Amino acid sequence: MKDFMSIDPEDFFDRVTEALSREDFNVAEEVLAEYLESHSEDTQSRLLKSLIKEAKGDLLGAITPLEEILIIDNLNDLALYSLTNYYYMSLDCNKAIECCDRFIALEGTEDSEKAIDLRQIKVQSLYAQGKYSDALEEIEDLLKLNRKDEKMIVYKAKIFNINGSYDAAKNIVNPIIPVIADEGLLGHAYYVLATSYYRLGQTDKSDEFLNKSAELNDEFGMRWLKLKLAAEWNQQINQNNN
Amino acid sequence: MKITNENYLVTLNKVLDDIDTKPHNKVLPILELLNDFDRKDIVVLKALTHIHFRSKDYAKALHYVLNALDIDPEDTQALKYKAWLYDQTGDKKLYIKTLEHLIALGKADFEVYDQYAEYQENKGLILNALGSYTMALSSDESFQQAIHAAIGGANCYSKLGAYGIAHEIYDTVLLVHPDDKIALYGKSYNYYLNKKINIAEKICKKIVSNHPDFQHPKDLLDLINKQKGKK
Repeated sequence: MKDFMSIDPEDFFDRVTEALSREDFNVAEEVLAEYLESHSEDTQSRLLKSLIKEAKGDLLGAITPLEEILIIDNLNDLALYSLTNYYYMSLDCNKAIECCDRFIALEGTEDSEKAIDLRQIKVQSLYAQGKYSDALEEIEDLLKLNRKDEKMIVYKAKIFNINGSYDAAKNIVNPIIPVIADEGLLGHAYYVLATSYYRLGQTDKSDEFLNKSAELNDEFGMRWLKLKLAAEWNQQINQNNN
Repeated sequence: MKITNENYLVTLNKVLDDIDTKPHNKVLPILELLNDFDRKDIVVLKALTHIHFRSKDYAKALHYVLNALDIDPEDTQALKYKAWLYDQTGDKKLYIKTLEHLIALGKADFEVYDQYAEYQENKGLILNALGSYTMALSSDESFQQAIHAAIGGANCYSKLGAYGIAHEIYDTVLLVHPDDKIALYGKSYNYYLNKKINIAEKICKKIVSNHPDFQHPKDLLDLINKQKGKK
C-alpha cells in the first residue's frame, strides 16, 4: 500500500508543473488525483485541477474543483473569482451573478480591480438573461468609476439599440472606436455600430462596420454577415432559375 | 457502349456533368460500366453512392461508399455519405460515430457540425450544441444554410436561459428574413420561456395569420391560453 502521507507537496507541484510544461494534461491530472487522495482538503491542487480542465477546453470540468473548494472554504476569494468567470462562460448566469455578489461582499469593496472585473461579468450576465434595466443600472455605476470603460460603453450601446435609441448608441460607440485595443471588443463594437446604422437606414455604413466586425471574427457580426450573404446568394439563384 | 482507356475520362466527365440533371436510368448504367472497367476509381464509387442515395437504395449506396472508403478512409465526401446513410437506415450510433470521426479528422464542414449540433441539442447537451452550431457557422464557406445554424444557436441560448442573447440572434435573422416563421416562432418561444407571455402571444398570432399551416405557434398559443385560463 502506498504511503500517501509521504508525498512531498513540493515534489508533487514539480511533477505537475513538469507535466504541464510538456502540455501532458492527462499526467498532470493523474498526479493531482494521486495527491488529492491523501490531501482531500487541499485547495491549491483543486485550483490547479480547474486550470488544467480549462486548458483542456472542459469548462464544466473546470467548475467542479472550484465548487469543491467553496465547500471546504466558503471564503476562498480566488475560487469565487474564477467561478464567476466560468459560470458566465457556461451561461449559468444566475450563479455567475451570485458569485460576483459573494466576492464583493467578501472583499468589502466594489471598487477594487478584481471587483470591477466581476461587475463587468455581472453586466454581461444580466444582458445575456435579457435583464436590460438591471444591466443598465450596473453599467451606470461602473461608468461613474471609469467613464471610459470601453466594454461598458459597448454594452450600454447594445441596450440603447434594443430600446430603439440608435442615434444615442452610435454616438457613444463612435468616439471610443479609435482607442479600443482589444480586438474582440473592437469587433463587437463594430457589430453594434452596424446594427445602429442599419436601423437608421444608413445601410452603406452598416455594411462597412459589419464587414469590419466579421474580419475581427466577432461571432455576432459573422453570423449576420453570413445570413446576409446566404440571402443574397439564394436571391441570385432564384433570379437565375427564373 | 464500351469503355476503353481512351474514352474513360471523357465518359466520366460527361456522366458527372449529367448526374444531377439526367434521369437515373440514363446515368446509372454508364457509371456501372465505368466501375466495371476500373473498380478502384473513388470518383466513380462516390458517384454511384450519390445516385443510389438519391434514389433511396441505401443498401447499394452503402456498398459503394464502403468500397470508396477502402480506397481512401479519410475521404470527406464518402464519410459524409456514410454518416447520412446510417442516419437514413436508423443506425444512430454509427451515424454519430461517423460525424465524430469527421470532426476528429478536422474535416467537418457546415453540414457535419450542424447535424452534430442537432444531435447534441436533442440529447440535452445544450452547451456543446451551442459550440457546434458556432463551429458550423464559422465553417460554412458557402453560407447557404447559415440560417439553420443561427436559429439552432439561438434556440440553445434560449434553453440555457440566455434569453437576451437568443433574442439578439433571432432579431439578426429577422433583419435579413423579416417574415421567417422559424425565427419568429423561436423569438415568441423565447419570450414565453422568459415569462413575457403577452409579447409571445402577440408574435404567435402574427405567425398564425401569415403561416396558417405552421403548427408550432398554434401549440404555443394553446399553452398560453391554458396558462391564462388557470390564472
